[in-house]
Amino acid sequence: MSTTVLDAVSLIALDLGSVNTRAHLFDVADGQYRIIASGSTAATITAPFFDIGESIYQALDRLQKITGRILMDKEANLILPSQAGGEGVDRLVVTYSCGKPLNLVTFGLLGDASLESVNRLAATIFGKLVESIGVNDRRSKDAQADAVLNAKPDLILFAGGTDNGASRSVLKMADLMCRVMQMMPAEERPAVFFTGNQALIPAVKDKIERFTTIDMAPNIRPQIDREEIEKVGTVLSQVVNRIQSTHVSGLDRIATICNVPPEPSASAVGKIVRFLSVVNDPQKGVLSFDIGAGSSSVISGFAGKTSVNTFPYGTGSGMSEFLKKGRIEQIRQWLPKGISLEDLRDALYQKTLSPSSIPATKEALLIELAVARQMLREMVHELRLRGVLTAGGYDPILVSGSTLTRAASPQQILLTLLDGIQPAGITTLVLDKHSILASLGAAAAVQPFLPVQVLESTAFVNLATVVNPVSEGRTGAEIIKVRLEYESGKFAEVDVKKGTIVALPLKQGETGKLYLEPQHRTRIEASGLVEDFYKVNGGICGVVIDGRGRPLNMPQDELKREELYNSWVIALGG
Amino acid sequence: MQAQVLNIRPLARIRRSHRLPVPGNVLVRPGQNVSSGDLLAEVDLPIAQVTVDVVRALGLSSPQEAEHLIQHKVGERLEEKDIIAETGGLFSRVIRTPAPGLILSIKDGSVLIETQTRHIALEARLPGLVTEIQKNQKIVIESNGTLIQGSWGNGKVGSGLLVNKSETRDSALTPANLGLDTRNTILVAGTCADEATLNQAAQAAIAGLILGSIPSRLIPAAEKQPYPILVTDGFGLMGINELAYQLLSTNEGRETSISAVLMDARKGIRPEIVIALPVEGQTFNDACEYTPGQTVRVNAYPYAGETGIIEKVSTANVLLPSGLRAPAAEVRINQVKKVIPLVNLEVISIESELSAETK
Repeated sequence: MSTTVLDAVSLIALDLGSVNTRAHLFDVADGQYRIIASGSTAATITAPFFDIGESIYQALDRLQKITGRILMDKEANLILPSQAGGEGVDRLVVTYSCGKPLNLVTFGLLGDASLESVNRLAATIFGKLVESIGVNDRRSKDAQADAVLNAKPDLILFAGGTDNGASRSVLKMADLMCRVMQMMPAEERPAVFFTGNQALIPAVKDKIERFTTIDMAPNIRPQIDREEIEKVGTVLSQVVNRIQSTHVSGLDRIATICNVPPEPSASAVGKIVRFLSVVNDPQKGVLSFDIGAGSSSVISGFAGKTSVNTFPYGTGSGMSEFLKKGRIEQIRQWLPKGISLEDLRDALYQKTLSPSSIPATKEALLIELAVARQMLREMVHELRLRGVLTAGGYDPILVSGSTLTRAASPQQILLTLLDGIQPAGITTLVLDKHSILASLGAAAAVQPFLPVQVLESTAFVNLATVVNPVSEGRTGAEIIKVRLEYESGKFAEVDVKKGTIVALPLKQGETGKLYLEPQHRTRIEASGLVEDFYKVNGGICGVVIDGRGRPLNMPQDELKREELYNSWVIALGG
Repeated sequence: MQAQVLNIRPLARIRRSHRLPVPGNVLVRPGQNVSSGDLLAEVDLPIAQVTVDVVRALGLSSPQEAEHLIQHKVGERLEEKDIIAETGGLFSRVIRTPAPGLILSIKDGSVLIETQTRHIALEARLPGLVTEIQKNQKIVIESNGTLIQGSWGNGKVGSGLLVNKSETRDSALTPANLGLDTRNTILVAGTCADEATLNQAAQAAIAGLILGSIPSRLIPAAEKQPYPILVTDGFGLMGINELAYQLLSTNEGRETSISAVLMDARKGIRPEIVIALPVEGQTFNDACEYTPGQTVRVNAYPYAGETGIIEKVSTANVLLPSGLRAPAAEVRINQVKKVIPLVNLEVISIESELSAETK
């Protein structure tokens, strides 16, 4: 559907990260919403400004210079709405990932019901679940209170009781919270977010609001077998905004001119993932990965339901959190060149001192990509533990964050993603090269056509369509015959051996028919069924058959590892 | 493009805020001179409590009856085994406090007692004059002297006479450097390669240690030392950057304070060395842009700690040796020109500039 001039709105989306502040301009061109330009600048949330206002101004100024459009008036205020002469924009939305990681404490009843749900809700917030208390907690009340005090929570998430269900246990938990609040100086008391038995709202509110602010939301578990995380998450975003406004100086100021309240980036991406999970192949889910500087996220979507998972680590300020549990050896396994454990450790810890630095040399880049691989592995593992991975596989897999999208070559990016995610089945890897996914999610609330049309544009890059056969054959044995037929009628054929990776050229914008003939003891889709052919889309790296096996095991020997890595890069056209 | 600034200043007017987590007991007054490590303020934060349910303990029929029998008020301090409530009469029933503490509340027949607190002591991170106290929570100290900012610290504060045990800027501290003459001093060395030397320095009762770099595997060992350890340049064995080394060498023998706090970019706090001087310095501004002629330090692997002069700046993306593209500068380091991303550079402000307060 094309958008007429009459109903088009121009929109600026600001994305406030811990290292960069980005301003994206969207407008209608040739009847469709497009990303017109992006301006990026260093975030000013730290010294010497300690306020995001300066970086917002600089990013908008950059956008002005790139586009030649006047966006700000003489007082450096954004012109809203746009004027007859073309100055300004009609809409402004903001997403952010630059806040402080919040210390979270959850209260719920049963471990396999409300407590589990509220813990999943906690995973959607940039922060750390420090303490979790359920009705079957064996610790004494004093010990539980101590645990909550020691957690120094910024926010307590409180669930429990289906609607008109359990009440006594929920109220006892509210009493425990009140006891804890009394122990804290008023200015240190965390906010409470209640998402339990709706019939108890007046009683819970009466107890807790004497000590701290309490926000109410729909029941996250209105019935024992029904969970409403997304609905509750929307309400929670506003509470998180309020808390983060005290840590992100300038956020509340910019919020006053936004068309919708600022939104945490992961939650905004969740909207796009949900949309894609509805419009795409109903048998498959949609997955989105973002490795940022301070935090990372994985969002899984299937048939309109999403699971947002944030992790308090990243390749910038989040590096120290990632290194807390060791992991140096696991990171080293991804390095093709020999680097001593000591030098690697020093390089990684040096990054904690200069979180905004970027790899200046080839070796530094390989180290960063090795870290990214390990982070991806751990995020996938965590999702498996949380039970949110769907058996049917994912298509597409969206990738954001400059760590994952800015490597020196597409082959480097592709190998990093394949080594880290180790996807199953057939999937398309799509790069969010402008880092606009979160902005599109926020924009959806203001102009629903905008994200739909931009997603269909060239703003996103197909990196490759990847086929991941799983074989029990021995290394070197032929595991699958592949034939790719092009639109022109020509074709390419290859026999893929176990332990190898093969790329067949198919450019972005082109399509082809992929015929797969798995050999003995090899299968592709999780279901074991293989269609006659798959219609595949082209990408920068074409169609890739990854026969290296799952899980991928890297050789301990450094020379072998380097040899193998180089062979894979060459195989992919690097 | 806004530059990151590293302050290495021979003479500056330094202003630093110190803050308790909550208002507390302030022990200094405006106009008072303090030394590094002096106690400025303190507060006790509650960390453990116990609730005594008098109704249940005494078998009473109502909270009102319990509150009638409770013998204390909110805010009173209870000693070991003090009686909280007693029924009276011939067969009196008694409930005593399970631990000494402060009564926080009496409600619904229950008594909440704070039994454990955590003492927070706020120490001066530099010597100087107390110029401002706000709401019994924030105390500002001003001083004049040499300021050298660092990269990492083990969280402690200390002061003493400065002693340079480093023949070159990358010499390692060894046990041979430690003796009676280093007792209560602030030692300077390029690096330290082993835990045993750090432990021996503790036994030698040094007041603090300034290193250019330290292998990251020694972080746990450094954190458990009783004396402050401040690292100027980072992790590895690269030594102290040239400018800091020169300043430390020329100030040998002077009273030196080190605040080896962990860097907190959100609060603008980083580890610092202050050498008080009896000369008025100028306040300085941490905001500047990258320009040719500036002296810079590289803060990222593999050139961390190296210093050089910017010859050319490009705010447009430039192809780096890594294959990435980013704004970068050509920096001459030890006669060799290197292309370094701007975000990997810190401008070393060694000249006093126009006045502006720092946090």
